[in-house]
Amino acid sequence: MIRHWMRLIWNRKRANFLIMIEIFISFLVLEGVMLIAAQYAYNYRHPLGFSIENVWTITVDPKSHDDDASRTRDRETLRQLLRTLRDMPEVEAAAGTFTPPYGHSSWTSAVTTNGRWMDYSVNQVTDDFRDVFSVDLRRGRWFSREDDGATDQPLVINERFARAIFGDVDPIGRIIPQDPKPPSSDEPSGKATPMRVIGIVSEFRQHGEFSTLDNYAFRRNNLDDATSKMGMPNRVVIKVRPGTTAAFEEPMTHQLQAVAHDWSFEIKRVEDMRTDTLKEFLIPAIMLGTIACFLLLMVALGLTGVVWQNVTQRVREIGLRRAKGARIEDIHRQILGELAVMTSLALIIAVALVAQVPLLPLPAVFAMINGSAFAASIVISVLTIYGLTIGCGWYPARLATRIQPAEALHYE
Amino acid sequence: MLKNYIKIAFKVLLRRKFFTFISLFGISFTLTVLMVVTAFFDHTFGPMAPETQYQRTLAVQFACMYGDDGMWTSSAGYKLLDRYARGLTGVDRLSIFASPETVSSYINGQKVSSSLKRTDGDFWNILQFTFLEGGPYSSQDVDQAQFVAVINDATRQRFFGTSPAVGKTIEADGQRFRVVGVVADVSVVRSIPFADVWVPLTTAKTDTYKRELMGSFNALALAHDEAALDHIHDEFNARLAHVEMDNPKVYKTMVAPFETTFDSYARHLPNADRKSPESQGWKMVSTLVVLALLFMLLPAINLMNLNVSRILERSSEIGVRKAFGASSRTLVGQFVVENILLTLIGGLIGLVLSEIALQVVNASNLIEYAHLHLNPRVFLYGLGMALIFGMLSGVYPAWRMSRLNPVEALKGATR
Amino acid sequence: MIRLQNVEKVYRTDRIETVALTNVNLDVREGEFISIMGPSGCGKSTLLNLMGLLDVPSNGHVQINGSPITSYRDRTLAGIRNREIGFVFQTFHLIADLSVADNVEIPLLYRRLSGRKRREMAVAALDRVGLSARVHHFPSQLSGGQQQRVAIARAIVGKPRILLADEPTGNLDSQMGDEIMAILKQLHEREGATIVMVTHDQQKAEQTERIVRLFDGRQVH
Repeated sequence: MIRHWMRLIWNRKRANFLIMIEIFISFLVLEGVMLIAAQYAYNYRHPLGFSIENVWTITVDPKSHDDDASRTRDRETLRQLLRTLRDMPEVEAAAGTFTPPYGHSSWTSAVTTNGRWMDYSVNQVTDDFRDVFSVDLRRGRWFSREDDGATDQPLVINERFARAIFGDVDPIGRIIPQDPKPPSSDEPSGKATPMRVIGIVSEFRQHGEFSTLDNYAFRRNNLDDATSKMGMPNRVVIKVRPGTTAAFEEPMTHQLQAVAHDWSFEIKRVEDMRTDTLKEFLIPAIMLGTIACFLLLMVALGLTGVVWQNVTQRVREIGLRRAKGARIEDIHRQILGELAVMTSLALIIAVALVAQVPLLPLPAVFAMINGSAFAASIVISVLTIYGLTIGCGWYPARLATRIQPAEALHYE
Repeated sequence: MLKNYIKIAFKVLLRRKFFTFISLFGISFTLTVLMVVTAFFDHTFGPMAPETQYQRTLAVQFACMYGDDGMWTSSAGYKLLDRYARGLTGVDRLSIFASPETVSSYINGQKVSSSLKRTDGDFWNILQFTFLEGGPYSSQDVDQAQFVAVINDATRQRFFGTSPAVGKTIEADGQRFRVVGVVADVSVVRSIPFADVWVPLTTAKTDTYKRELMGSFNALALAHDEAALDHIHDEFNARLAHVEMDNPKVYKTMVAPFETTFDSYARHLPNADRKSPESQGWKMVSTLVVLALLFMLLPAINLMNLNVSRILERSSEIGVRKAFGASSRTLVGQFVVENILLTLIGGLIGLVLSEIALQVVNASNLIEYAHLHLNPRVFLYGLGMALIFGMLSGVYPAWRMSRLNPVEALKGATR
Repeated sequence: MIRLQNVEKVYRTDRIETVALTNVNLDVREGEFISIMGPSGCGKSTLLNLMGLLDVPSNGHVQINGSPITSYRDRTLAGIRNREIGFVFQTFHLIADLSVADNVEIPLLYRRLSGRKRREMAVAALDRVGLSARVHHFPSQLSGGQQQRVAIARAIVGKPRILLADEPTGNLDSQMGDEIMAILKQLHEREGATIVMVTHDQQKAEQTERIVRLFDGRQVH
């Protein structure tokens, strides 16, 4: 039976070709949207690795020129600001960082280990960062006074990064093996500062619930070290006592302003930053989704019309030949069978094409796609397209069979 | 002839109303989306107050310095603009102003966030803001570092409710300013004029900004006439070739061209060449055109399928016309005209739907202070897109219909 | 007027070759009214289509009005059909959405004429077939005989010298059929039209000047 239908389709291939292209493109559009939705859903289920309850960020801007003298002076001022904050009864913990969660800034780096190139996100923080965000430390320890004067760079990394570098071996205390780099302007000797893993966190989703799952590493920035050449963290993050209201912002700003008269301070609740970030993820996705829905509705209506027209022509033929009732059922089944085979052909090619995408050497955008989310999106899209095409064929075929006797009489 | 085609086109459309409905659904939806996007682009880049002298202005809103190893992209610093952008031939007025920064004010313990923009006096001479109260501060005010401010209507309401604001004081970022003028709100996407609060440059907390080549400043040049614009662009780029760099071992070359807002936005696309001082705008245009065509693809194929499926229905007519002397080319013309008529009707429906959609966007306050509208320019773009869509989706079915062998067409219709 | 020399028409599908016409030689002189007769499937409609340039012979030549058809380009043939030939079909093939006048105007659309001139000529043609009272009606409002008369008006509106009629009375009852024959004869006698009519009605055929008989794609004498 299927072979019979395929032969029919081949015979009318020119007419059917355009319909198959329409199904093909509809699948691609749907798959694009489904992939984003599936990826979001998959990401959403993973824990954040930190808590933002009662956490505020303060963007600090010293408005100074970027030279060594300014930097040292600014670091000292920031140290004093942190101390002032810690002295306030409303503040439980205060730390400095470059890239707070939901903060729209990011810092990425890369390491070549045993010939493999690995990207990772960096967050350079002061020791109290862990207390501010209640970071989920699993093994080893966080930064502390123990790390003062270390010759290598202590690092706290997430489980994923640890597994990527060390496999199943316990990474605590180990140096990350780095392949030698050619000498550059940063490191004329060609030797990078060794990085030693002192602690493992479960996860740190800096950009929130919908962001991709990547490798993460914390580096230590010690403001107490006056000789440090590191930059000054431009964000201060504080954990306030539960019950502290926005009314506290103004007096806090005044106290900070008293310590650093020329600096600018911008306070934001991390919860609010989270809302903004989520909106940035969701609004485009919702807009795309709505447009995709309308496109599919348009395709559904179009296919319904085409099938209806198709069936009407053939039923007229049958009617003229004075067919018996059973023959109409055959046509009905034949129409749907043809549609199913056409859809299958279009989908096989489309899925084959889409499945190639992760294999292409395309930029990091595609590295974000997770295998099970990808597979799920394809399955859902395939089922939806089948439902669409069969559904479009069903009703017109039923309708046409119902009006057939009248048509037949008309042409008598 | 055309009248005949239009007459038959209407008859064909009314013959099968369900088909016409399906076709119009797809067409109007497609054109609605395209027109809403066009309206948005027009709102962001098209001529609009206070940029009333749009045709005579260019701005520096982007700066990039690069060397062999690295590239630093941001806005220009004050020093770069102050030292190198003044005295260009053909420039009537030059304004240097900062990018907006978010600052907090506390009113009765409540926090209010505003966008604060620091400008010079000429800012108000080049841009024609609509003043609801008072007026702008002058270059003299800027020179004397007066702590005065112009605020927008929304800020006035936040601070003072319904009362007038001129003469009163506001506090922002820990500084106090006396309000000298209130202007109508400017949409947040208009990068050159936009802010909630405008204050003189010289009220900045430190003057470190004066020593920086890279920073968060922009320059706006009002040319003597349109013809001078190219010259200004070239002369400034020539001057940049001789900029005294801070760190020439790392960053050797400076790029910070005078261009339109559209061109400077285009530099942020992944396919833009940030190191080039030449206009990258055409890349954004071609990307947009490709995206628009891709978007039109599925609806066009859908419409094609609908039209092709009706070939048999019209085969009698096609056969007769051919028998009586219509060439294939003539028939293609007839069917394309029919399709364009359909898409124009769909376009009109799309116009109405777009206006509704834009009102919804305005009401939802998705873009601050924006009042998106359809205007004659957008309407013309919409018309153009409808025509393109009509041609795109009409040519293939028209060609298929015209190629019907008249003998078969006449036979087929009798069966 | 029309000359066919050694004309052959073969239809080829993927696997089968059907010979519709073989070795047909026919001369229709100007002002003749002839019929073509034969059983179903003998190729009479094919022959008419070839004469009307609706189809192209596989072998042989066709001459219209002394000029051989050398170029089979679509535009050329369309132009000749428009100027020289008028068709009448068994099933009328009127466009249901258009009024009678609009239907009759169709051949004139493909000439450079003003709308007013077209309307003038259409009304004149309808007058010649006796339907001037029905100018603004629609085909669905007319009887079979009246519809065929509209079709004839359409065929003659452009004043072609050749009329090709494929079973023009096939779908009409005997009274209407006679009316149509009367009109055709009138056109032939009064205006000297060259008419080729395909029919399987012996009685109608005998009203013409000459009968050409076909059997299995060949002429029989």
